[in-house]
Amino acid sequence: MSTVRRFWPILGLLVWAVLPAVVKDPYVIHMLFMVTMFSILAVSLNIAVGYTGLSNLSHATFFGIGAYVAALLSIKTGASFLITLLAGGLVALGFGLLLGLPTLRLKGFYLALVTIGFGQIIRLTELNWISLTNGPMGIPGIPTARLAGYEFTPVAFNYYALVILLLEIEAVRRISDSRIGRALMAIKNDEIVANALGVNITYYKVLAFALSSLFAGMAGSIYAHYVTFVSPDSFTMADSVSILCMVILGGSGTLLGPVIGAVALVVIPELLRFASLYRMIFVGAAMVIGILVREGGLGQTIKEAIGRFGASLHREVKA
Amino acid sequence: MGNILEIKNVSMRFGGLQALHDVSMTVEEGSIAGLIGPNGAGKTTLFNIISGFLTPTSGEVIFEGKPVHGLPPYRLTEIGINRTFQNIRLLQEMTVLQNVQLGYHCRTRTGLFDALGRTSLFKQEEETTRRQALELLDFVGIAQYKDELAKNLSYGLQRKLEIARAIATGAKLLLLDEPSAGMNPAEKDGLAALVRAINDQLGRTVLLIEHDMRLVMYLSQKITVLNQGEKIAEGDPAQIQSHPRVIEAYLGRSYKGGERSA
Repeated sequence: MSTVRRFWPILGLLVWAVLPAVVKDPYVIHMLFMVTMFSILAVSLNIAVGYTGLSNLSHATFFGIGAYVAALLSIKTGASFLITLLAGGLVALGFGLLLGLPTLRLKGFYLALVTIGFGQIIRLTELNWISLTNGPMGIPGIPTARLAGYEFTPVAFNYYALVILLLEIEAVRRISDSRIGRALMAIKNDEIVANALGVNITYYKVLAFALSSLFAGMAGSIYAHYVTFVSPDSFTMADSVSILCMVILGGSGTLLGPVIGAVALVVIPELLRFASLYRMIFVGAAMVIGILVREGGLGQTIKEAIGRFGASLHREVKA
Repeated sequence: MGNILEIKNVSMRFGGLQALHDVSMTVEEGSIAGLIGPNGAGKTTLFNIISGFLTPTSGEVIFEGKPVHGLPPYRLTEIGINRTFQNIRLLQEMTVLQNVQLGYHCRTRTGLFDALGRTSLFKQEEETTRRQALELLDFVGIAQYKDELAKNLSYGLQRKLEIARAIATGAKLLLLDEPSAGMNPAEKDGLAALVRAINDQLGRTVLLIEHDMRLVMYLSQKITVLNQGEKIAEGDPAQIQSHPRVIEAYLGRSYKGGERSA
């Protein structure tokens, strides 16, 4: 069973790793990059939403903060992409603390509303602080990532993002399987009990929120160097909602569910491009049906299907 | 031995409702004590005060000689008081083992970077708490369910898990809120043996709220009776059983002069 459980993620990883190298179509390579990018975002949002049960409708805002920091830092100081990766992540983390410390006492709808408000404040700042952000025109000409004289191609960006995604997944795995992960899950399950068991609720909520923002900011830096242009339009509440949908559809609180959700919600709209105007109706319907059919998310369904498949394999081998 | 817990003149008022009025009681270290009374007597309110979920309107709670009223629940857990809940509160979506491991949260120290780096401290602490948690599950008799989600356990087993989790916090004083509620007679006997073992073998002091008189009389060395927010009696089981005010509280005053015939 456990070998079967490991088999599918490893196969997925192999396909993910080989595809950018063998595919020649730049459009497909771009889509692969976007899948990886949104996977990083969904996995990070899952720390706050899935494991800890915090509502957050401003994840794309932290993504945007990371992207703006990377853009400004690399244009003004010529900092390397690895520096902007760290800086973007840390500044986003700082904003996560700034938002989280006073507001994480709130729950459910109230917290969701506060995060929406925060997203609007940052977006308006990006639009109106023209001397810093160039307002609605955005910041063009961000240097692409360079390593020892080698200029990153879109294929290289795919591998860069994939490495970060894998590091992130491993970090989340280690956190979830630890004293800290158990404290986060306890807060999601029942705050009163968590409190009675000696879990400092505010500390762990802020920690989850900050970690979630850190990875979103890092994703922002990768994205900024890849597209070489950032503007307030790239980081809207609609994007935050999409990321949240990826987490919920894929399976919140599971390690790989958000990745499945990201793959589904990036790839399906592209496959439906032939239906042009109507495609988002299909996507919406697919989400509603997906969640109605399976509250635990696609991850759960796939896990069980694999379990059955594994069991049937087992029988065949025995027979 | 001395008193591990002293409650001095505690009153609790919710708006116009006087839930507790000037209640004082003590629990001797190393004993099993009972807290009984009709529904609405204020027993759970008193538990909420001792465990830090409520701050009394007036009065003091002294634990091991130090005042502890007004501290938040997580601080009281660190100090050594933990409780179970009347309506079982497990972490439903977590496994049985994880529920007990959480009990050790306040006794362990590894942080984010230990978890990320899988340091030797982290490995050692995880290994120790895991082993201790498994021993505790074995102690309460549910070790075979360690990987089940807590919500999948039967009612009686959920109660045992909740008790195991409270023990895991290292509490010197365990507050059990109606541990036998909803149990059948056989399960109640098992529970009685478990509470005894917690007291004898683990050396923990137990204060329990209980509606099953047979059980509470059998287990407790001292019983405190509350009625309508006031303490009406205190003593050993024999004294309580024959105490006129207790009988009155439970059965009602006898009618005089046959004003109403049944």
